[in-house]
Amino acid sequence: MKARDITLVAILSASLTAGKIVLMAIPNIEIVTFLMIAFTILFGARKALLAALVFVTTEVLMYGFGTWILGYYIIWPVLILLTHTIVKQTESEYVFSVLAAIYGFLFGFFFAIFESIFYGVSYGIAYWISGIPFDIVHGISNFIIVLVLFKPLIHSLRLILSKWHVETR
Amino acid sequence: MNKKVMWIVIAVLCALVALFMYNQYLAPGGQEGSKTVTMEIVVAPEGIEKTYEFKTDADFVYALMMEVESTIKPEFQESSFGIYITGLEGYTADETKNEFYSIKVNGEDAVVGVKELPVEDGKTYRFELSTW
Repeated sequence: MKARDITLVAILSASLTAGKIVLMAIPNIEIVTFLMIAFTILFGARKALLAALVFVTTEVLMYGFGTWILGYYIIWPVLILLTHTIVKQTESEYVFSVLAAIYGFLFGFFFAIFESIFYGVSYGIAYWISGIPFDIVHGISNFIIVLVLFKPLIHSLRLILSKWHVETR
Repeated sequence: MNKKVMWIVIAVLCALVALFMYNQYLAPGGQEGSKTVTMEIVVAPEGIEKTYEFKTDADFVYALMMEVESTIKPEFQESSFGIYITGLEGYTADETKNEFYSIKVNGEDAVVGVKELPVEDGKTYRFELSTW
């Protein structure tokens, strides 16, 4: 891996962390999902996966260890791989908005699986059900964020990066 | 109408419907207290003799009294020995007449104050205006 790529991964992961911190005061409204999708489309799955790995590790360093770490190390790479698969077929903002929405809706359910492993199935079910309103907000806000920001961001980043001779898809 | 705006409006409406359905069918409802206790309040000079039954999850009697504050109208005073009851049912114990509120649990004098007195299921807590 070239120094240029390492720097790019560092900048991408820093953007993810900054994006997370900026909106962390508002429960379950975030731009990390959107950025993961955008980075995968622009820079490919490999760099996006590395950025996600650094991002999650940074989260661990900032907030400490918890059961959510396992989920984080899985959920973002899965989103990147899904995006990578979908973008071969289409680059429609509607398709990615729906993907982000589904991701938001299932976020609590996914983490409930991990909670079930640690604390039992009944706890996992209670965890999921009590978080459903947040999942609804998460899914809908993801849908809106991706729908509104997808085209402008992808378009402008492609323009800027081409000027800097950074390879994009 | 712009296609995206239309989809955003639809998405927000769907979210509102989903939240409404959640509140109707899935949201955990308020749970009644798991402990049932009886509270007797006697203020003889005022002719007050009341018996209440409360369901609560409070750990200590002080917390229970604050839960039912609007019903029993308690008054408290801080002292170096802790908090103690100075008034109930709108009547304030008159110190010049050596009045105070005694606390009995199932007929026996409580040995601690309301902040340290645990709420136990099925017990009767009696607060009676007494003199020393």
